[in-house]
Amino acid sequence: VILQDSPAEAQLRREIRQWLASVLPDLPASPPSSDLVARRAFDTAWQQQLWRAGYAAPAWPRQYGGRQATPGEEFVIMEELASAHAPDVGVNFVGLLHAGPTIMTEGSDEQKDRHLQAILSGTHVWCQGFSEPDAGSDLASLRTTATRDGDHYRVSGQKVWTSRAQIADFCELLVRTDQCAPRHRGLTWMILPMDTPGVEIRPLRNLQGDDEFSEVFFDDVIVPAENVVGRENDGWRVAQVTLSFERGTALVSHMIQTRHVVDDVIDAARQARTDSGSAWQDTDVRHTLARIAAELDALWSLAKRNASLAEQGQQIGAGGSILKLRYSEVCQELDVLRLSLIGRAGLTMQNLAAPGELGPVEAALGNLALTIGGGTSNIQRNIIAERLLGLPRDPRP
Amino acid sequence: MDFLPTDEQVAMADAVAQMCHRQLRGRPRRVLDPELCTDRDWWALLEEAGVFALRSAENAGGLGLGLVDAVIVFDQLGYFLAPGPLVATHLARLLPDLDNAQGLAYTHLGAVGSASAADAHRMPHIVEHLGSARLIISDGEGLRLVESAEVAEATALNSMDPGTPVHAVAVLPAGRRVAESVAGCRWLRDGTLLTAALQVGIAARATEFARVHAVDRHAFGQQIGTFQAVKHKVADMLVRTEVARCAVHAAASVIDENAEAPHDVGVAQAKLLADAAAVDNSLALIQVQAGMGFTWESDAHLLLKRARVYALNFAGRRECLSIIADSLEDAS
Repeated sequence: VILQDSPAEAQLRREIRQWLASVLPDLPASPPSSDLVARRAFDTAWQQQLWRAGYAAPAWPRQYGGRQATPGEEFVIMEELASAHAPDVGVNFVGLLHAGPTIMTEGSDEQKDRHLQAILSGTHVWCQGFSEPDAGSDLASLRTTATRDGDHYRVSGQKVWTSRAQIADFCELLVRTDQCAPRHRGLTWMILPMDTPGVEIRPLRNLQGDDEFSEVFFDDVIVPAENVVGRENDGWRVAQVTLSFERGTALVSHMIQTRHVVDDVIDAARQARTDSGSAWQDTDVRHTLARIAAELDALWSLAKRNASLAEQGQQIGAGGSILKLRYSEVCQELDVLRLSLIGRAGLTMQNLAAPGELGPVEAALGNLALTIGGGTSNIQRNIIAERLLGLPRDPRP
Repeated sequence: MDFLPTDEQVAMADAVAQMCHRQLRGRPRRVLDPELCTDRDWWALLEEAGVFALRSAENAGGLGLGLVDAVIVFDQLGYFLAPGPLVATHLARLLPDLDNAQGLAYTHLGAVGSASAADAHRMPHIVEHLGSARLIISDGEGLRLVESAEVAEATALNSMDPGTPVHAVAVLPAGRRVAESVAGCRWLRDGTLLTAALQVGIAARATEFARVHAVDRHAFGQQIGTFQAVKHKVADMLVRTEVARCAVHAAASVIDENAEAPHDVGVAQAKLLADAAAVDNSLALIQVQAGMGFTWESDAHLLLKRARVYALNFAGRRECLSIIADSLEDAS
């Protein structure tokens, strides 16, 4: 159990620190999260900068433009980026963490040539077409249909919770290609260009008031057969590959941002007045925050343990579920404490303490997605119980 | 960075686990026998496994290992509810002024001073293992040693944990100073962390018992682990265990890498989370086992009682929370 950097990790840390110090001061101001077009321009420009400097998708193999970083080195890069307040992955999330690795593992040579570098360099933005109104946690029950017709498919149906569909170039689409097969066996993973006729995007306003995600409708949309990734009807397995990339180092940036939230909460506690002085003198407040901070630090160690497991070539698998489950809950507990301290400033979405920055109310509302997206907490508990502890599976149809 | 135990550490933990499994028959029933605390064979086995000599220098007959190695071993001892007193006996080996003959056990009583709750309420001191071990008392200035024979009036009490005999002592003799404040602080720091490691073991054992019950027990025609009301409770037990274990390993690693670094915070975090994991998991186990969990026959109460003993040993919840809160203040 060694926490210190290896010599290679320490060297990498120095390099990236130096690079960040040279580029971050010239970065334009970050546009608001609600302005998707501006966000795309900002996030992809940053991705291009990362790519030129060799820090884009560090874990990708060299042959696909990555630096073949070990999980430990990737951890260092993510840690340094977030600590320096560099932009996070933003609109490039699905491309870099889902579609790219999936195409790398399962795609044809043509698909790799066409898409991998375009994702890495911030040229192509991707969105996800997995969930449907009647297929959320129970993904295998999805009903969007693709019917083979010569050298292409005709796709009809509906997806939902598709983040940033409006500004995406491609969609990783999971469809049913065999109606008769058992539900897990009749699915196919395909690449859909979002400008194909018959694709209709209807923004779906979320509880923050943003149009960040959408419903996407498909009316007889034609997709070339060569866009299938993996084999026809093997899409369930391919989708598992896609989702396995999601819980590796994805939380590292968020965890570092949450440390800054802890500091903000202390400031808020110092400013909040109670009968006996500031709220920071209040034992309840101090003890609640101390417990949350202890858990956040322990979860940070767990993230490192997961990276160490990956470094040994082991699957993080369900270990990622422990981190995702508890971390998302602790974030929400921190938000509850924070909102209790700001009093009537909680009546506005704006950040009164630091105008222009993400405010505590908006952040707390946004964090409600943490226990839902990427597998709900209920599903994470099932995964932990079934795969780590060997408890019986939930009843399935 | 490599946050995983080495092969040697895994092997050492396995050896301790196998020894405990053989001696305690894989179940904590034998800990009901308070005689085991004074059983010479048991202490010889602990000695042989390196539990006490683990961190002593090699030229002093020790293994010369670090805190990370120690917490991995103590995790296993906690899992099997190994009879003690383990922590103070281990720590005593690192104090040059003490007689560290093999088989000599030490127990610890903390925070004895003018402000102690015992003095304020004229309550007697409650001391563990007084009959079988020499007593180390920590006060503001360091550590003092009291021989059992020096204690004038000690009344054996009906102990909460069957494996942890306790006495009431009205007046503690002054004893003899055996360590100044620096060594005293290190004693408290390491004792807190090793106790946290024992708690992680208890949390893991509770999770394992709950897992077995959820798989074996049938109701409504199914394994009860099928029901999310049960399986999610057990999943949360594993989450608490692993999060606390990470905190313990991190704190130990920080101290091993730099003995002079400020480390009280990491240790306080580890104890806070490990105490909560051990107690909450034991309570969850009783609920999962339901009627059986409330019986003397079930091992669930033994885990709960030992967890509550350890929660009262070395830094407790409020002290840990204060240390962490103060550190946040300094950092921000």
